[in-house]
Amino acid sequence: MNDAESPLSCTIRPTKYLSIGESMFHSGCGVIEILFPNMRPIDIEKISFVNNYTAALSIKMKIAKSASNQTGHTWVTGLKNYQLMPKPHCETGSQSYFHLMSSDFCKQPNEVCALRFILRQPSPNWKTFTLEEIYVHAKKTKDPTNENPKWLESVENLSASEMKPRDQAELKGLPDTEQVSEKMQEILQLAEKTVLSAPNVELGRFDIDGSYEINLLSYT
Amino acid sequence: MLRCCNKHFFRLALIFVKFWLRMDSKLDNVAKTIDDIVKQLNGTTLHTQLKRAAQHEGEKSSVQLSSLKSDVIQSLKLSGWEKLLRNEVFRKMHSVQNTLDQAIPFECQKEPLMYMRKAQANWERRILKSMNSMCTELSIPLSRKRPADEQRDLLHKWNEMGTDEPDLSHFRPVYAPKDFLEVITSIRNPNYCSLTGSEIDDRSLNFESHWGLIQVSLQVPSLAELREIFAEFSLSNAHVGLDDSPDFPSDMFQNERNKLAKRVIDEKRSPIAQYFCRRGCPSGFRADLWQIALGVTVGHLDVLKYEQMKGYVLQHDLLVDSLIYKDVKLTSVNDDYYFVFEDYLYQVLLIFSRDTSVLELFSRSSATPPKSYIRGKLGLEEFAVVYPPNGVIPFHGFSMYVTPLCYLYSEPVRLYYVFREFYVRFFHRLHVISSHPQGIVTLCLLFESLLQSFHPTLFRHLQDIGCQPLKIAFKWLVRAFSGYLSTDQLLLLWDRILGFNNLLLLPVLAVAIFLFRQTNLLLVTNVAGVEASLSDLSTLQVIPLLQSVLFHS
Repeated sequence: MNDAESPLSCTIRPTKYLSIGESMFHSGCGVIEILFPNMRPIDIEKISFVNNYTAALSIKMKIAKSASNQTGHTWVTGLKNYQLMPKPHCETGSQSYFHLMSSDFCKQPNEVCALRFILRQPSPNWKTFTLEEIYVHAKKTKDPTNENPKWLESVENLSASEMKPRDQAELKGLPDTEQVSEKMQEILQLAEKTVLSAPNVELGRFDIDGSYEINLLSYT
Repeated sequence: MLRCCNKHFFRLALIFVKFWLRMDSKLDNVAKTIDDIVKQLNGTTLHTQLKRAAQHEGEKSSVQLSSLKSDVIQSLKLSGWEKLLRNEVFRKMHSVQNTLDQAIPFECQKEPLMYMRKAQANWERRILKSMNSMCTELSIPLSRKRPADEQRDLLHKWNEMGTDEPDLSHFRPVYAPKDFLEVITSIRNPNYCSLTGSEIDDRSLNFESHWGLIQVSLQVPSLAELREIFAEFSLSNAHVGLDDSPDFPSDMFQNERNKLAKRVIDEKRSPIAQYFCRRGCPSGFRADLWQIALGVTVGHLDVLKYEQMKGYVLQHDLLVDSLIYKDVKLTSVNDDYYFVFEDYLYQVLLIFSRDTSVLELFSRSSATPPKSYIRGKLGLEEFAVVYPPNGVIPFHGFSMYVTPLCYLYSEPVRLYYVFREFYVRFFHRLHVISSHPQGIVTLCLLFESLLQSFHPTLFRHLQDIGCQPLKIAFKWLVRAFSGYLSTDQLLLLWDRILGFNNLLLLPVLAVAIFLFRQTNLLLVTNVAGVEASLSDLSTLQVIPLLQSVLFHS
């Protein structure tokens, strides 16, 4: 189910709001820059964040040009005016959680070196707007630790070889591995069955060991 | 065999869920919803019954092994089990609308806006404090076990609890709609910036960008959107409550409607019954139609459950019982229409307070049930309990949610289960602070914005004489007009609430009432006058009023 790995460590610069010179006014536009220091360009699987009054989001991606044998980088629009608040004057979506999958992007977010989130809030109703708790998840790469452990491989190899491990195991007083695994599977199936058939109908009791004597309500 | 039936059961459930989801395009998380519903149905009585029925069908000699699957499904359809399953899935659809996402904190799923969560938490704390101080002042516990003889006494007078006149003068309702309104109107978004650019100042209403009392910018539907939602209200349709009145002697419509109602009842399908309610139920068929529309079945197990909860009422005496008692005495018993139902009300409300299945609704509302510990076990998590067992502390006027239903159901068990479903589906939203599109805050805001756009002069006039319209309308909204309209009109209104599955009709009607009395209201120059001209709503006709707002050209 969960294809993405745990979030990447990245540097998220604080939101910069568009302004003219020193004067502060409600421009309705802000930028968050995300850098991935000490890392090769990454393939993004998912970006998750909590909205804080941003109405629409565009994402620019800095993509390494290694594919076309060119050096340097290019900026590409990955997402354009993705709506976070359907009506900027109203609260809907203003503090919601969002998950952007790679399929939501208009260009596949592969080989990315940096991201720029361009935030827009046309409504003057809100004092500030930004995004919080931004997490970037990279696509899962083949992880050597997740492959079959060494000892299992060795067992497989053994059974294929001429060493007749079954005989060896019997000699050592151990049961047949195939039999054990069959039995284990049976047990697993039974366990699953009991979990499935357990009625989720509550009995409706509210007392504890027959007692429901209460003095005061608890504040915690 | 059983495993095979089991599989079909889920497949059937799956198909129905898919079908209904397609009707509601807002739900995109189809797979998750199906999974949730199937999980909820797993292990229920219906599940067992279906399996047994399927096994029974499978054992018939006419069934071929090769076509076992289709034969069993076909015979389940014919014997009516499929209908029951459909109804149950339809009912569950109402409770699993927001599917839970593991990645999002639970409290944020209950209520996305942080300041709303805080407001609700503070409000709950206030209620707790008030409950606790009542306990300390009167030096009574929240809950105590009844001695055996007291239990016997109560059982003896179960059907005539109203005759008992305990001294309740020291008890006071935990809160009244007025207190609740104060809390709702004080909700502010800390990130809100008024259009004048100045900080929000509570003392100077003029600087706030909302004219009304509600100062949060929730999304409310526009008139055009309302027209779309309530399209069946259009003037071209005939309605029960309008076209069957004695002024329009049109037997045709009434007869046709009765015939159709009979057919709908025979069909026993929740969605059809619910849709039928949109244009009103003939009064003779209302009880059955509502029950089918709500998907309430009263089998022998439900009766057993009811009796079990009655046993719980006898076992323990709760402080909440006295609050319920007091509330019934203060509201329903005082009402000319409802006082006869006093004994029913006690039975239903006391049992309601012991029903732990109501707790399930807290997973999709911004409220949290009050918690306590068994005496002497303070702080020990394994002795933590919810108080009252259903998690709902009644407020002044709570019993009015039940009273109109007493006109429809004479058996307490049926009355109870219909009321519970009504509460879980609709009424609990009316006394909880949330940003839900049908929560009380949104309803209030819709009332204010509609009245402003329909009749700005009236709104301004009322505000100038110091009478914010919401102050009058709020009590109507919180009680869903129960106790304000005449009973027949109230039931016509609740027909529509159930039919459209939507509480937004409440503010629409409130606006209609203000507009209907506008000539009077514009002449009045003080608060008392406004209250007087809006105090008696018992002569109003609900359906024409609603139409006048929704479809007035």
